[in-house]
Amino acid sequence: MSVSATKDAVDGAQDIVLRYGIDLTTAEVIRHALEHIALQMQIKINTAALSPLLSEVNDFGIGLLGPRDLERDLDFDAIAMGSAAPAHYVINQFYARMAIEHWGVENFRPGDVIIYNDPYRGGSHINDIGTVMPIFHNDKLMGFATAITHWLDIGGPVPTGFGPGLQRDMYAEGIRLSPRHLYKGGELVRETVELFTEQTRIPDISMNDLQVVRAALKLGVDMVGSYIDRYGAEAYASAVQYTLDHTERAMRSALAKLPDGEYSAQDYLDNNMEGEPMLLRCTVSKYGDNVEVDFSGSSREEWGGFACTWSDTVSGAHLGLQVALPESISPNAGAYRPVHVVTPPGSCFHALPPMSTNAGHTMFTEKAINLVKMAVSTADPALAMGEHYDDVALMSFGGLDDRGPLPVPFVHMALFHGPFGGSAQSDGSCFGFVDGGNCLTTSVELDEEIYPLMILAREFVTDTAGAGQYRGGPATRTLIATLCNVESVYQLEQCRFPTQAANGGASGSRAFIGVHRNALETWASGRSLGPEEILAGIVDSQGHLTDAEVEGETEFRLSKRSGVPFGAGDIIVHQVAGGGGCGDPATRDRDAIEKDIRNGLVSAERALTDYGYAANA
Amino acid sequence: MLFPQPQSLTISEDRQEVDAACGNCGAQPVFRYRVVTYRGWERVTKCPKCLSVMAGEPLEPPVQSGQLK
Repeated sequence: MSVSATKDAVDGAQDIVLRYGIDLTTAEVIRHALEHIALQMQIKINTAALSPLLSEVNDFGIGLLGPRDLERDLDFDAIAMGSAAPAHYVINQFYARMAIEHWGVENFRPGDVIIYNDPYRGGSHINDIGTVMPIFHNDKLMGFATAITHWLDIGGPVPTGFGPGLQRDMYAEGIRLSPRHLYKGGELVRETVELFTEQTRIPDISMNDLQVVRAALKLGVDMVGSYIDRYGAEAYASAVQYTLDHTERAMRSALAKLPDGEYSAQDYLDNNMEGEPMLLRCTVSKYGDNVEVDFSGSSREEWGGFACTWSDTVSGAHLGLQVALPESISPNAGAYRPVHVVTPPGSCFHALPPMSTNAGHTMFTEKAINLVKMAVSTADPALAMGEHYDDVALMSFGGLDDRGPLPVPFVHMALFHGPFGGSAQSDGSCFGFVDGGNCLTTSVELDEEIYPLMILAREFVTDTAGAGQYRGGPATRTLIATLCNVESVYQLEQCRFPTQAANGGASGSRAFIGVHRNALETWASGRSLGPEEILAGIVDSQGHLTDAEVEGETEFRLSKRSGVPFGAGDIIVHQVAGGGGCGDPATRDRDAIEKDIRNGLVSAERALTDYGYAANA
Repeated sequence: MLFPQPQSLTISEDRQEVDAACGNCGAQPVFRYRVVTYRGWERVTKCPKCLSVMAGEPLEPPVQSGQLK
């Protein structure tokens, strides 16, 4: 069947039989089963992995690729993905398929698991470990189970791998694997495992989690096998074709509701390696039910990891559309058929080897998503929305925990949730993870039990939400105490440029990172900590946080750095940006303002200045 | 730095004008440039008005082929 034929509306159950050769019930049972299988695979990772990034945070993507069947226009496409990190499950359409081609389709055998992590082969960054396991039925290859799992550490000079400004090329990132056996015919390949146990800082976690990934893939292989046993290989392939076409129709239907036109958005990354802001642009052209997303006009790639792979950008473009559209579209390749992405080589959205992409992966994927979202939000007043906190805000800690009788090496990565912008329908969500991540934070209990850290506070901050008819969500401030000497990496956005507002709303507050040196005992005594030393953000001549840059009077301290030392007893202050507001603040519902004041999100003073509302004394 | 970097501060895809009219909407000119489809890289001839694709040929990704233009 040609792709264009799938655009036609389905004319009843009989039409399904004519088009696909299976009845509607079977087609729907298998379509839903595929999604269920992907979720089961995801839960397998959650329940058995040792790495918190996999067990708690959901920093992975896992699911199924369909068969290669050119008569049905199938070519190992992504047919179902779990609900974990979206940036990972979109990219499987490229990462896994390029690894399969590189390995050679004819070289797969039952029980094999192939592992790889080269970002320049359709991947994301070097920490994201790709795996595929073939699905055979009576010696016929029926597709693959596939996963991308974020490895907590991948060797190289920086614990956790993120090295903004430090990793100037890909050779400084860690171990890089072209596709190779992790399992061969069901047997674990020792030499591959030893790459992880000998060359990363997490040998014990790696030993367990490599086997967990295989177990999850095997679960997918077995479950698909049970459906093929029940319905037959032909019916399964037809149902896969139906599934992709079904999603394509849903996506085209959603796109068709947007007005035709050209929509653009512009943003900046706070800084490159040398402290200069990076211009980011995106144009979304839409006609009928087709879309083209073009990132031309964006900054060149910048050394030190300030760029991402083309596949990350393509993934971001698809996700941006899915986030912007009101409809809920299944995450499979059918949704990507109506979309073309232009990502110019040499730009920050298309790194060229040997550029490092480890740090840039999170920065630019999320910026790509947000640019598309912001561009589409201008297509229709009903889609308007303010900007969210806009990057995978992360902070890593590595070192030797020397509190016990024996020093214990540790690596930890903290992810920070934050606010979303207000929209034409509602206030912004106060506390969630950026669209591309959909991750969870590790629990405070886990952080404090396993790592030499204490989480002293995690709280919303008054007067940080962008004002609007529908306000943005408030910033979240987190206080973290380090209990031994550590080395840290941080990546945070909007310390320099605040969140963008929509339809007459106001920007939210800027983000920042500060530290109170050796202050844990002071905090414990209840005494004031005083002003923090600002590490990331705009400061005045006295080093105090300030709200706007003035040439010659202020200094911007980089919001992405690696190799930052903290001492035992230091208290780190981490505050994300406030969400942008949407709509004229003067039109905000008075009861909503009262509620914000009661909840401590807006002070009485700012209610008067921002909303023109005089609170009851 | 050990490796070169693009000299231009911003980077754009080069769209080559093609002396032809769109077969769907009649708009003129149409353009030839690279896109990433859901299956991978293609060099397409495409209408800027209605986004119709008049021609397309698969490409290796630039980072594999080394062809950056």
